[in-house]
Amino acid sequence: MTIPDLGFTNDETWKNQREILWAHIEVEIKKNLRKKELASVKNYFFTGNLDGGYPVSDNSLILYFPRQDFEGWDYVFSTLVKKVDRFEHNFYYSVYGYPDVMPEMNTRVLFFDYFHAETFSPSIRSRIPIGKEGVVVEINANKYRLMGFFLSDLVALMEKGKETICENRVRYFFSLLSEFDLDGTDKNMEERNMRLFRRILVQCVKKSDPDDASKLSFAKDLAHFLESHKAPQALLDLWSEVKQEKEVE
Amino acid sequence: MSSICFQFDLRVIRTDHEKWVTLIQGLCNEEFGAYLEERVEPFGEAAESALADLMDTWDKFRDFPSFDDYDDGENSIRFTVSGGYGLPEEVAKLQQLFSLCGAQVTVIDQSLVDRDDL
Repeated sequence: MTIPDLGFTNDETWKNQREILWAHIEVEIKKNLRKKELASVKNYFFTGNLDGGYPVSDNSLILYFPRQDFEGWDYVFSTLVKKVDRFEHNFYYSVYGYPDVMPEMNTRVLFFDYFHAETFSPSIRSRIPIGKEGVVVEINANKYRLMGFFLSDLVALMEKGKETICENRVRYFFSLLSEFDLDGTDKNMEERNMRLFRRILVQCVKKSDPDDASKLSFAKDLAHFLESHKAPQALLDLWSEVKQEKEVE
Repeated sequence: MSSICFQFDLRVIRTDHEKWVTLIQGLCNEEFGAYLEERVEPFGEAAESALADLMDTWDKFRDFPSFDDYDDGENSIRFTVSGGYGLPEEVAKLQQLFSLCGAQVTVIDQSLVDRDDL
């Protein structure tokens, strides 16, 4: 695959914005990367070139490529990434969306869309052959694990007002939620998810903060989903329990 | 205690005390890469070369040891280093590095002390 157009990397305004982003990223990656490695990563971050002399890790290749869109990721996954498992890794982590590297929510949503369909599907194929081996990756999604990523983020939305992918992909989230059940496949994961769910539902029945539109809107959508009885039994039971506790208070 | 643990006691010259505090506190905050290189740089080329050798060892084991229990005295700095099976080699290289940076280094194998306590 040929390298996509990176002419914009010569633009002074783009370079200045990139410098600001780099300053944030460097604070963290300097903890583990040696100076010579850091210089290679920085060169790649600003130019998309791998001529810095030292190897750049697969996830850095994906996240630091100057062009953060489908065309850019197609190129990186098919040409630069070495390990096939990076596709599946980012299938899950795209729910968090790497806010430090992708400060704009639009980019994070686009990154999520790169791995996911409009609604949850347990089977996903990569758009292009991936890595050194050049294989089309097929993922059998672990819906409990995926739900865990969403729930952690939603707890952050409901308790701290964090901006989340979920608010931007509500349809996807509810399609995943309708498949939520407790079948004992992974007890630890199920228990963790139920604990997170409880924290979210507790926030839903609390007197809502009128200033926080995202939180309010999501709480309304979630309550509607649960009240419409489309929800799995385990969640309906938890919802009744949380509401009852609120009445007792 | 399942991991191996060593206690370091560094006697440093008063004028270098601040540099040492930044260096060792950084290690306790898991700042191992370019941060550490920048903090060793003022101690000269021999120290830099010893650090490069230590970092090659970390690369080999693909892991960093854990620096804890930081304690800052008037002329000495104490801390512990714990880790896995590669630790004795790493501790020897840390000892050499800190000596080349001008510290008087005392190292006690804490794992042995713990076993004696049993």
